[in-house]
Amino acid sequence: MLSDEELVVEIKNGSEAALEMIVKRYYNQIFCYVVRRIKDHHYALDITQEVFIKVISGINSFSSEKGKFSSWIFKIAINTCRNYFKCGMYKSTMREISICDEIQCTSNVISLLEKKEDQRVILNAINELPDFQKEVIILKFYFDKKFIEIAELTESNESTVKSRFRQGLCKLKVILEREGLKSDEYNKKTTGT
Amino acid sequence: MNIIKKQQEHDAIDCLEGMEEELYKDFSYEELRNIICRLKESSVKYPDEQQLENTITACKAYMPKVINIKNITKDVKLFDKLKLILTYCNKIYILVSVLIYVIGFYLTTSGYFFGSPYRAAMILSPIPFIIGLSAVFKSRSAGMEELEMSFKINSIELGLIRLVLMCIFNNILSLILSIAFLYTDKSLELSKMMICWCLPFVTISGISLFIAIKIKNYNFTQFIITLWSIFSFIIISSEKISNWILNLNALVIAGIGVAGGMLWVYNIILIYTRSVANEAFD
Repeated sequence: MLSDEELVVEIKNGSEAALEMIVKRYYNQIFCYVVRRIKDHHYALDITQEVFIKVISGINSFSSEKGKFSSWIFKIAINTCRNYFKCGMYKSTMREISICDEIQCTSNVISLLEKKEDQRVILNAINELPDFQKEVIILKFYFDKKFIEIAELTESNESTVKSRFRQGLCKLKVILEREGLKSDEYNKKTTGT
Repeated sequence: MNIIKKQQEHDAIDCLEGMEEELYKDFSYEELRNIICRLKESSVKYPDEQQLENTITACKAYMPKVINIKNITKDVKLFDKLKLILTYCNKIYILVSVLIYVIGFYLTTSGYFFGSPYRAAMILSPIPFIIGLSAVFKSRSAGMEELEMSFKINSIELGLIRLVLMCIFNNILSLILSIAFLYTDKSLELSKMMICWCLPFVTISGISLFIAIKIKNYNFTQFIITLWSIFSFIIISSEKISNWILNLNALVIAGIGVAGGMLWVYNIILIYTRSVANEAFD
């Protein structure tokens, strides 16, 4: 299998096949990140496309000596999401569509409803976090990024990232307690006792 | 479902193990594990294949353009190109050409060779061009290759500019030689001297270039030099031929000049036609 860097060289030489491979390789990852950040599934699709267009149109500026391609594409995704939040349109068009509408598991109606409600609470909790804390929490928990990597991606230092992470977790705890998802209740749900 | 839950808890524990204690001092282990489990539980439905295809199609419009040498060369100004060419002009070629003319002048004025300055001008005038022509067609020599690789100038333009520069250089040398002869021998006529170096230069350079384009290998230099040596020998050995050339009718001289010029134009068209397939200077 060709590495990301090899594919980038091919894209620079005009290979559309390489372009397809790189988009297919990262599409779901980038979409997951974007949809968790902005909550809206439809906007997430547009923003994911925007991220890839930025990647391809700026591919000549990428150099493997500066870092990994995966870090570069994530950095573009992070900045595109930041721009989205800066955009005034975001607030006026924000809809109440959430990832909860897209839950995969459909074992039965009751569990689905329970799951939907739980997910709504979790997502709302994440969305209540300040943007810079949300960024760190998502990258840490959903993409298993190391703190040093998150620091590089968000263009901040490692200690700042750790501090944001800790603050984010504290806020999440408060929000989840407020929303009634206390640990003992959760334990009951998960263990079935 | 329980397997998924267990996996999520396992992931959460993994996640915690990588963290410094300082980061979760405000939490009990259970609290932290539960928060992480809840976070990990939320899933995202991936977009369908059509969305992915749409993105690929959209991206194709933004694919980097493959570098087109011809487009780049348009951006470089002619003056910059000339500067570049001069930077890479072969100094040895210039030195050899000057040396041939100096030796020719010395041999003529000292009476060792050529017999008359007219004959010397006839024989010497196309030599720098013939020598230079082989260098043009051998454009893959070290310095030129570097220049071409820079993509500032393509091989066709490079070859033509060098040909023009060679012509200018050749004619300047011939003019200096003529002036030097006229200065040393007051009986010489400027018009005849001009005919002596202009006519052989125009015809021989035109024919040489034509052969060089057609033959397309480096043996053509030897062929032209041999041909020119035979011609020179005839002129030196027979005073009649040199006198015949000197006393040519003005109309004939003009006719030869026009024919030589037309041959040059034809050669340039030939080079451009072949440049489509990048054959002419390969």
